Amino acid sequence: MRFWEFAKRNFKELWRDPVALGFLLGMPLVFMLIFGFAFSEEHMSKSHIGVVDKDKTSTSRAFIKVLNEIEDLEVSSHRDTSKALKELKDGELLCFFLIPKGFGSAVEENRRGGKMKISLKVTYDETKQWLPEQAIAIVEGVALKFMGTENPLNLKRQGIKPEAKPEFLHFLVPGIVIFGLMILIPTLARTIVADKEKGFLPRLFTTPTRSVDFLLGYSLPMILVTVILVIIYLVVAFLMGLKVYGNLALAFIFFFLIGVCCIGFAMTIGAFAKSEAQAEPVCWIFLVPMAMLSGAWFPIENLHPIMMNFAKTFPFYYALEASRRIITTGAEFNMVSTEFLIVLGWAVLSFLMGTIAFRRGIGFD
Amino acid sequence: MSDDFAVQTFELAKEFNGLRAVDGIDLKIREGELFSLLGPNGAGKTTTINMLCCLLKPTKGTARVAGYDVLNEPGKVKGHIGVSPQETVLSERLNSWENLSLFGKIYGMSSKEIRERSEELLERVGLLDRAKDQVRKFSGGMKRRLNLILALIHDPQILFLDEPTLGLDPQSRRAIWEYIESLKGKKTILLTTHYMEEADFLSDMVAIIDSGKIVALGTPNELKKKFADTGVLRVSTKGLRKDILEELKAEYETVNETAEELKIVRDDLDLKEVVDFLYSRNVSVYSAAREEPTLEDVFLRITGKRLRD
Repeated sequence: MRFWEFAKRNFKELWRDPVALGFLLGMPLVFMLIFGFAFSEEHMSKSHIGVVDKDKTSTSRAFIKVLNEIEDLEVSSHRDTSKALKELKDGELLCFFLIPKGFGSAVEENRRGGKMKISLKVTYDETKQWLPEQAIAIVEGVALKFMGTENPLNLKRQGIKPEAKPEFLHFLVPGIVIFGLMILIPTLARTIVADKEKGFLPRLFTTPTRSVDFLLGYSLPMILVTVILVIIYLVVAFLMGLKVYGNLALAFIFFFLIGVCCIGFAMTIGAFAKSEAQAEPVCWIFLVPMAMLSGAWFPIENLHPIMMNFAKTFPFYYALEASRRIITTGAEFNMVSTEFLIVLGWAVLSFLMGTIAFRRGIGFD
Repeated sequence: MSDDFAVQTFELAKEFNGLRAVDGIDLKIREGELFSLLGPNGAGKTTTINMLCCLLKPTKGTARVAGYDVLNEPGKVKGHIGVSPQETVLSERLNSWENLSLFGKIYGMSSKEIRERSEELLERVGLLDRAKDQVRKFSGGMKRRLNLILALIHDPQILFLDEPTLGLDPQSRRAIWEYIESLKGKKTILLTTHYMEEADFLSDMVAIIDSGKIVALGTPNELKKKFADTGVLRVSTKGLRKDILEELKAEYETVNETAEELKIVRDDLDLKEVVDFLYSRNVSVYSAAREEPTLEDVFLRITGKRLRD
C-alpha cells in the first residue's frame, strides 16, 4: 500500500498549505458570495408586484397610488390577469393583486360605517419562498390603512409554480463549481512539478516505489479534494438560496467526473512541465479559455459558431449544461444521458492521457 | 554478494547530448567500506551515483550493486540501498516522524519498526526533541541531518551519500561527519564530496574523479604518499605586485593566492629559490614553510585545478 502512504503525504502537504488550500477553496467561494449577494433576489431593494385593476374607480386608482408610494414596492399595473400572470411566470413579479369590481364602492361604504366584505385576490410565486409573503404583508397593511376600517381584508391567495426557469444564482452555481474544480489543474500540476523540481520524486525513484504508486498517490488525494470541494460549494450555494429541482446526486456525478478530467489534465501538464514557473502559466493558458468557453460565466449560445463548436469539444460545456438542467428543471438521467456519456468518456480519456504522460514525462533519463 | 564487492562498476559511462559526463569508470567498493568520490563540481560524481541507484541508465557499461545488475534488476537494487541526495529532499509540511514513516512504509516496514527505528535515528542526530515540528521550520543543518537519516530508516546494506554536507556551516558539517563515521564498517558507503577534508577524514578509499574519469585511486594516505615528492610551500609576503605574481605563476605551474599568503605546489620545490626570487623583486617575505601535501594538493597536482573551482 505504498500508494496510500504517498497519497496521505500529498493530502497532508496540501491540507497544511494555507496558500494552496485558500486558493483552491477561496476563489470559487469568493465568486459565489459576490455573485450570490449581488444577484440574489433576497437582496434586491424593491419587491416587484403587479396590480390588475378591474374596478377602475377613483378609489381603486387611489389605492394603487398609495401602493406606489411605498418605498419597498415597485408596482406595475396590468390591464388583465393574463399579462400579469405571464410576468409572474417569467419571474419578473413576486405576486400580483386583482382588485375586483366593486372594490371602490365597498371601501366607500365601509368608510361611512358599513360592513362590506372587501376581497383582494393575490397570485404569487411559490418557488420564491418568503419573498411574496413579505410583499403581501406590506400590501395587506397598506390596504387596511387605506380603507380606514378594522374590517379584515379577505385575501384570496393562489400560489403557482412557474415553469422552472434559471435564475441567475441557479445559472451561476454549476459554473462556479466547475470553475472551482478547474483550479485543481494548477494545484495538482504545481505539486507534481515541485516534487520533480525539488528532487522528491527522484528520491522516491531510488526506492522500490512503482509508477502505479505515484499515479494513485497523486490522484487519490485530489479525488477526495474534488468530493470535499463539491460538497462545500453546494452547501454554500444552498445557503445562498439555491433550490435544486432535480436529483442532486446526478448533478454531483457530473461534477465528480469533471474533477477526474481536471486531475488527468493536471497530471499531463505536471509530467511535462520542467519547473513550477513553467507549469503555472501553462495551466492558466489552458484554464482561463476553458472556463470562459464552458459557459460558466455567460451563456455561450450567442458565440461565433466556430468558438461554440470549439467549446463543445471539451467536457466542461456538457457538464455545465447537464448540471444546470438537473438543478433548474429537474432533468432526469435519460434527459442528460448524452452529456453523461461525453463527460464520462472525457474523464476516462483524460485520466489515461495523464497516466501515460506521467509515466513518460517524469522519467529522468 | 558477488566477488565480495558491494558495488562494482564495469566501464560505466553516461553521455548527455554527446557530452560525456562519466567516461568509462571501473570502481570496486568492498562491503563495509567508506568510499569517497572526490572531485570538483561537474566532475561526474552525482551522475555516477544516479546510475548506481538506478535513476539514470548508463550509456555504456553497467554496474552491480548488492550483487544485482543496475540495468536488469533495478527493483532488487533499490531494495538494498539508501540514498541521501545532494538536495535536501523532504516533505516540508510533514514533521520528522511523518517523513520517516513515509519512507519506512515505502520499504514495507511495520509501524512498530518505524517508530523504534525513527526514535533511534532522531536521537542519534539530535532531532528527537523537534520531531513533531514541521520540517519547514528546521534550519539547514537540521534538514540535512533528517535528509541523511531518511536514507537509513530501512537499515540498508549500501548507502549513497551525495554531498551530504554541501552548504553547511563547520559545526553542522562536523556533526554529520561524526554520524557518518559511526556508520563505518556497518554499512557500505559511497560518498561524493568536493570537500577534501571530508574525504580525508572519513574515507577508507578515495577515488579522485575529474571530467568523468577516475584519475587517482587509493586510501587517503596512499594518495598523499604517492605524491609525497610534491613540494608544497606556503609563503607570507608583503608588496607582491600583480606582475610579479604573473611571473611567479609562469615559473611555478601551480600558484594559489589567498588574501595573506601564496601556496606554491611543484615537484622538487626549492624554498631558497622561491625566497630569492621574491627578494630579488623587492617583495618582503615574512615567513616561508614547506608543508605535507593534502588531498587537495594531490588533486591540484593531478588535475591542475582546485577542488572548489
